[in-house]
Order: sequence, then C-alpha cells, then structure tokens
Amino acid sequence: MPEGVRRAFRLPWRGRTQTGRDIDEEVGFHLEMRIADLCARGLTPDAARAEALRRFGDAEDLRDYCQTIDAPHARRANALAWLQGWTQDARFAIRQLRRTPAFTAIAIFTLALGIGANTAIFSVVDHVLFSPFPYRGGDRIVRLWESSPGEQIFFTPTAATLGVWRARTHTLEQIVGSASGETTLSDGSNPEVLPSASIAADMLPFLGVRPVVGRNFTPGDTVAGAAPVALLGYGVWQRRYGGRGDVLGRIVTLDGKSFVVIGVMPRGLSLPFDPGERGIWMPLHLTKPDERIPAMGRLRSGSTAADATRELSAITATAGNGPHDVKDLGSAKAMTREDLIGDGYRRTLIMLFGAVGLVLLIACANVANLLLVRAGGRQREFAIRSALGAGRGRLVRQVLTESVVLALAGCAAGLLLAWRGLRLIVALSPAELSGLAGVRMEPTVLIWSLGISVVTGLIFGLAPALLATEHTIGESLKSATRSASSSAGARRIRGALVIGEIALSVVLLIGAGLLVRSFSALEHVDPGFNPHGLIGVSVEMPAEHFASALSREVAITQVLERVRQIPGVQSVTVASDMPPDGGVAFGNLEIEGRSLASSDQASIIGYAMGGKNYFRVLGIPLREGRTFAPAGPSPAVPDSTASHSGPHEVVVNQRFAKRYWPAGGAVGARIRLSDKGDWDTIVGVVGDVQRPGQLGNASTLRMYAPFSASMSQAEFLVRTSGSIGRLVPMLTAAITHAEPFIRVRKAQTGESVLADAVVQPRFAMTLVGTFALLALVLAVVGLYGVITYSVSQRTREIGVRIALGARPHEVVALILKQGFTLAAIGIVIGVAAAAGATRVIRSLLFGVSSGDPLTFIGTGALIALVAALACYIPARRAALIDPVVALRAE
Amino acid sequence: MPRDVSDLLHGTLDVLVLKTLSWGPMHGYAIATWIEQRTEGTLEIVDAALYKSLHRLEHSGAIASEWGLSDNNRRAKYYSLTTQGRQLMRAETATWRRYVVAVSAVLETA
Repeated sequence: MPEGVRRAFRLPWRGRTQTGRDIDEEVGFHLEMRIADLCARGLTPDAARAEALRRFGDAEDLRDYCQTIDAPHARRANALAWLQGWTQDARFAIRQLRRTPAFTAIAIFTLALGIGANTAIFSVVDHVLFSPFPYRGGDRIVRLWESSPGEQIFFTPTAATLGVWRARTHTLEQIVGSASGETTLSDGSNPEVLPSASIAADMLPFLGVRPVVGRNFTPGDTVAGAAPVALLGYGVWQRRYGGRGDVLGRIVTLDGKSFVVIGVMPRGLSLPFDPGERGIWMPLHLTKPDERIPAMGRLRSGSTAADATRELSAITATAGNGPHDVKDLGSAKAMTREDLIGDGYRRTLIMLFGAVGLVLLIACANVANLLLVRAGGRQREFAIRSALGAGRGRLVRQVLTESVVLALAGCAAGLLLAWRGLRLIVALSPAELSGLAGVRMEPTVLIWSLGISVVTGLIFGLAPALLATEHTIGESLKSATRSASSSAGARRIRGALVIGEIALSVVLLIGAGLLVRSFSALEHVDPGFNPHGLIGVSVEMPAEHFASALSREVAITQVLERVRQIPGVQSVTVASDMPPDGGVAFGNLEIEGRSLASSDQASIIGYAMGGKNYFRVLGIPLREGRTFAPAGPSPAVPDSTASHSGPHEVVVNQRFAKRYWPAGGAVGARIRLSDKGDWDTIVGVVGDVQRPGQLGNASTLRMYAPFSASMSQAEFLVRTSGSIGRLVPMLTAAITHAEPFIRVRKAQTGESVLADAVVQPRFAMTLVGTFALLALVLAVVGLYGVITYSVSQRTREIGVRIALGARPHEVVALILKQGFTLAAIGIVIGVAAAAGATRVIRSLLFGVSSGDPLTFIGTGALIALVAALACYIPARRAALIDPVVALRAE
Repeated sequence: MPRDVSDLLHGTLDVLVLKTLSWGPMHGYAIATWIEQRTEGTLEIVDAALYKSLHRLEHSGAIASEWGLSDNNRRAKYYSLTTQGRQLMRAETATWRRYVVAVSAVLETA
C-alpha cells in the first residue's frame, strides 16, 4: 500500500466534530480498500485512486449530511461528556481529600472562617442598604417630615398638614400616619408591656397585608368615642392565647382600658422605619389638628423622593398659617430608607465589608500555601497522568476542581458559622442601629456565598495547579519526590503569599487599633453633666386625665414630693428631657440693644426646660450668675401653644455666652427667639453639655428655661447615691402610686444613655477588632506553617551544619532570620498600605488621626513580636535536629 | 451500466443494506462489494449514498456500529443489524415485494 495514500484522503477540516472525524476515518478506510482492489485488478496506483474517488462520489456532501443529522445529538453528548468529566473530577477530588483528613480539616476550617465572616457581613449590608421593605411597593415607601427651609431640623407632621398634603399631592399615591409606643396588656394573668402602634384603617391596605384572623379597623373605629377595639400581634397571639381562634371578641385591658380584640396581624408585622414586631395595634384617634403624627407615604411609580420633597414643600408654603405656626417650618421632606441611614452608618458597613474581604483573602492565601505543599508531593501522580495522555489543561482542571470542592465544603461550614455569627452580631447591636432586627439569611446571601466560594476556590487553586503541572514528564519521574515542591518558583510563591497575608493583617490591625483609640476618646468626652448615679424616668400624662397645664403641675408636684422621700434619693427634679437628648427651639435670635448680622442669627438652639435644682441634680456647673429663682417653676398659664412663659428667665450655656458676649456680660442681657414673643432675661451661664459620639458640632448653643407643664410628657431626673438597680422599680412604683393616671414610659440611667450614644462606634470597633484578630491568627499560622515546612525541607542542610559544629543558637538565628525577613517585608508593606487605606475611614475616627504614629508603631511592634514567637518554635526544633538521623534519611 | 437501472431511491438502498447486514456484521466497503457481487455488477452504488444510508439507519436505530479491526489490521467501523432493524427489514421487504408484483402486473399485460 503506497505510503502517501492515507494522508491524501485526509479531507479538509471544516468542522472538528467527532462525527466529522469518524466519517473521515471511515471514508479513508473505504478508499484504501477500493484502491487496493483496483490495483489488484491491474490498474496503476494513480488510475486506481482516480477511479476510487470517482466511484465514491461527493465526500464533502456526505460529511455535511452526517453532521447535520448528528448535530443535536452531538451537542447533548458533548454536554454530557463535559458534565461527566466534571463529576469524575469531583468524585476523585473528594476521594483524594478524604485520604488526607488533617489537611482537609484545616483547609475547610480556614475557609469557613473567611467565607462565614463574609457571608455574615454581606447579610447585614444587604439587609440594611439594599433590600426594600417587604411591603407593597416597598421601594417607594418614604418617610415624611415637615422641615425648616434649610432642612436643618425635621418635625413630625401635624394632622392638619397631613390633610393638606393628602388633598393636594400628585407625587404620592397614599399617605398614612402611625404612632408607636408601649402599652401594658393585662387581662387576668401577668401584665406585660408590649410595643404598640396606633394606626388608621388605611394602614393595612397601604402595606398590602391582611389580618390572618378577624378584620381590619374600619374608619368608624377611629372616630372619637367609638367602641375601643384592638388587633393583636402574631407573637402575642401565639404566646398568650395559644393561637386559638376564640381570641376574637375577647376583652383585653390595655393601660387600664378595655378593648375588644377584633383580629390578629400576620407574623412579624412591623412598621416600615420602625422595626420590631408590634404586640398590640390600636386605632389612631386624631383629636386636634396640631397633633403630630409620624407619617409615611408611597411614591407614585415614576416619582422620586426629591419630587415629593419639592411638591410637599410647595404645598406647605402656600398652605398659609393654620392654627399653628407652620411658618417656622414652611418646608417638607420625603426621606427614603437610604436617606435615613446615616452616612456614618453606611461608611461603617462598607468598612466592615472591606475588612471581611481582607480576611477572606488571607484565608485564601493560607489554603493556597497548604495546597502548594500538597501539590508538591503529587508530582509523580501528575507525571504519570500526563504520560497517559492527559493534557495540561485537563490536569489543571482537575486540581482546580479539588480547590473548588474544598471551597464549597468551606462554604457549607462557613454558612453555619455565619448563621450563628449573625445572631451574635444582632445581639451585640441594640435596636438603635437601624434595621438589624430583621437580618436573616436570604437567598441572595446564599447565592453570594456560593459565588465567592467558587471564586475563592479558583483563586487559591490556580497557583498550585499551574505549579504542579509545569514540569515535563521525564523530569518529574526521574527526580526525587520532594524536590519539585521546593523548586525556586514554589518557594518564592509561598514566601510571597505569607508576606501578603502579613501585610493584609497589618492593615486590618492598624484599622482596628485606630477604631479602638477613637472609641476610647469618644467615651472619655466630658459630657458636661454627671451621668453616674443619675436616673431619668420618662412619663406621659394623657390628655383625658390631665386636661389642663395646672392639673399637670399639680401631679408633678405630688410626684416630686413622693419621690423625695424614697431612701437613697439625694435630689430630684423635673425636666423636659434627659440629657444629652433634648429638644430644639428655632427662630431668629434677637438680642436687645444689638443688631445681629444674619450670619450670627443662629436659628437653631438646643432647648430644654428644667425645674428646681435642675442643674444641681444633673451636675452641670454654674459659671456665671444664678440658676432659676429658688421659688421654682411658677404655675403655668394654660396656653399650650406657647413655648415658655412665666418669669421670662433663661439660662444659656457657655458657648452661647462666648459667641455673643466674647468679653463677658451675658448675664442681664435680654434675648428672644421670635419677633412676637416676650423678651427673656439671661440670669446665668452654665457649662456645656456635649453629646458623645457627636462627630460634628450640631446645635451646641443651648438655652434653658424654667419648667412649665405645657406638654403632656415630662422627665423626672433623680440623683441617687445608692444602688440604681433597686431604686428604679421603687421610683416607678412611687410615681404610679402618687398619680395613678401617669403612665411611666421608660426609665434609663445616665450611663446607659451615654453608652447608647456611642453604640455605633462600639459596634464598628468590636467587629473590626474581631476580624483583625482573626486575620492576625490566620497570618501567623500561615507564617508558622511556611517556616516549619521550610525547616523540614532543609533538614539535611541543618544536619550538616550541626555536624560541622554549628551551635544551637546559630541554627535558631538562621531560621529566625528567614522568618523575620518574610515578616519584616510584610509589615513594611502593610504599614505603607495602611497609611493609604486608613484615610478611607477618616470620617469614622474621633480624636485620632488616620496616620496616628502611636497606633502604627504599636501595631507593627505587636505583629513583629507575634511573628517572632511563631518562628521561634520551628527554629527551636531545628536546633534540636540530630544530624545523624537527618543525614541518614533520604 | 445504464444509469436508469442503478438510479435507485434511497429507501430501496436502505432495505438492501438491511438485507445485506442480515448476513452478519460488515464494514461499509464490505457492504458495497457484497451488493455489487450479488447483483453481478448491475448495481454500482455511489459510495457516498451508501454511507448516507448507513448513517440514517444508525440514527433511526435499525443498525448499530462499532469500531473494530479489519482483516488487514486497519481500524474500521462495523455495522450490525438490531432487532428493530430486523423487523424493519422484514416489513420493507414485504412492501417491496408487493410493489414489484403491482408494477409487474401492469407491465406484464400486453
């Protein structure tokens, strides 16, 4: 058979499908046979070939025909083969991993830490920043406010304003109001204080939900004088009434009044902007047009919050003055959920996100190192596979499959960690932090987790995969089993990985250190009053029992008398708020006898009312003049719309005095806030009260007026020398005993109020600190692993050195030098990177700069120390190598 | 050879292939030479058409293929008849016979 015959019938490759190849081979065979026959019959090879081709017909057409028939099947078969290849790889990978349980366990654990942390934080970020409210048109629900024209201050809208808005808005398709509070449920068995909400009949349709049992409120239920009805929260229904249907029509007592239960709300129902399941829902009774009701609305699709803000502001501006001084506000604002999340909070979350990203990278580097070591030992296996026909791509794919399998296992473990971790995070952060209440593992989070797991697997698997398959067959089979993994390339990569890990953990630790110092500075800010031994009890005097300011005055006096007699109470006073919280007064400041430049006319001033001994109880120092007249608050004139009346005395804080009377002389001056009010005389100057955690300087001018019972809410401030825990229930009891119709809303200590003010920085600090420590542990473990492995590789060399007379400390120094070099490079790179990276969190820092040398140097030193310890152990072991054993071993 | 005699519809070719394979597994060239020998050279099949037929039949499940070694140690694709193919062959053969009888009945007159 002529040699070139076969090759001549290699038809041109148009489609590289299996079908095509088969056809070509078959046709080639056929033509060979035909030519052989023809030659046997006497034709010349050339003639035979020509005849054979002629007799065959159109081979191209044949191939096209067959490929067309096969095409759909070929695709499916290819896909199947591809899938089978992966399944085979995966099964093999699992078998391999099970053979080395220690390695697998460490790798999975490391990955679980990284992936788990990532998942947990992503859950939080997703929930707070991204997910819309789970209600009808949730992403279009906005919170509505009246505001001052410069948007410096926001006020809950009045019922009258809401009415005007409802009538005239085009950008909002619905506006609803709701009020939250607490109520005491008592119906025979133990009374319980539950979070409550008052809503109108339109709230449930607004949210798009229905009661699971019973019916919604009707407009008739919210009319004054209607029979009192209530809806139960799902949790309460299950807990107290066993989830039975007979709860309908039952009578419950809420704050002493009887209500008929007409239905039960769906599980977990809470109000947007007000997280937390409500226990009781009551009808909203709006009695006066200037009553203020928190409100929200849903934007018409196509309208934005900015559109609504403009429209409502315009409506408010043209609405004119109703029976209330809207003119001081005159503007409106619609806030989306994103708007309400403070900028600081958003930045904190993003920073946390970055932090866990770094932790994941470190975890990846660790596992990559582990894999590199492991891959080194499998050189022979790969060499044999390669000899049997596996292409390099196939080998790489197999190693990558192992990595991905590891990563997915780490993902599963990580999800478990994240689930528990989330609970911890939510427990760490009190309800003040918006929106964390409902954080759960959503499907989005699972997808994200799987996604980063696969990417992680590919990342840390790539280097070992490429490295393991780079040698040719001959080399690998000939050389000693371990030498391949100690090749220069592998060693460099491992070193680089450890350096990277250390650098990243340096960045995290410096960040954490800065946050710790910042938080410490925050905590040590002098609040301006004495929070220790201070209790504030907030009360409400409902209008139906306390119709006039006089009746409230009387009640307050009774309570003060009663409380004074409680043992342990040093002094007590009444006030409008508990510091550092407080209200604001706004208007245009005027000073008698002076004309102020408009820039000086601060229009927003912190405002509080205090009774007798107010400053003494709080421990606010008096700087000049005196406090309020010793006779105490005089009886208030029953005019509920005036902000303060009476003897027209005020006290201002130091900042106020310094600003307008830099040379002194504030005492005796007369000021007023609006051109229609009376003049107030400044009788004294007191120290500044500062809100810790206040990174800006908002409303630091303060004014204090004598207490007048013009509002239905008040705060009793008690200074005690004794134990607070026992005193609080005695206080509450005394108050209700003195005046049964007063409702105690809440009792707080001075310390807890201050602590609450810094809850966000504390949250950030705790989490970042935890991640930084985690990162350090991972990095140090990585360093330890690399040094230990290096020692094991150099056993022979060390044995020789010792045999030649090296002293133990010289060996230790040798190993330490190696480890230290890696650590030092890592620290230097880390510090340099941190100098840039920490600039990002500058806005979250207080009292410490982002380049604070103390933190940087301290962290560097700490890591150097820890690294030294990590290297010392293998170094010590190296010094104890018995040269005889080392040299004998292969 | 006269073109009109060897100009066969591919359905007929299919039944010829099936019948040929009922003698045992063969590769494509063997089928071609078998048919040529049986028809004593009357039918010179265009090989490409034969292979198309083989591919069709394999696709429909009437025959199965397997790579094997030929007598002279070359790699070749062997085809064999499946149960389904055997049934098809019997059906097609019967149809062909009826067709032949019908055509002959017309042509034989006169």
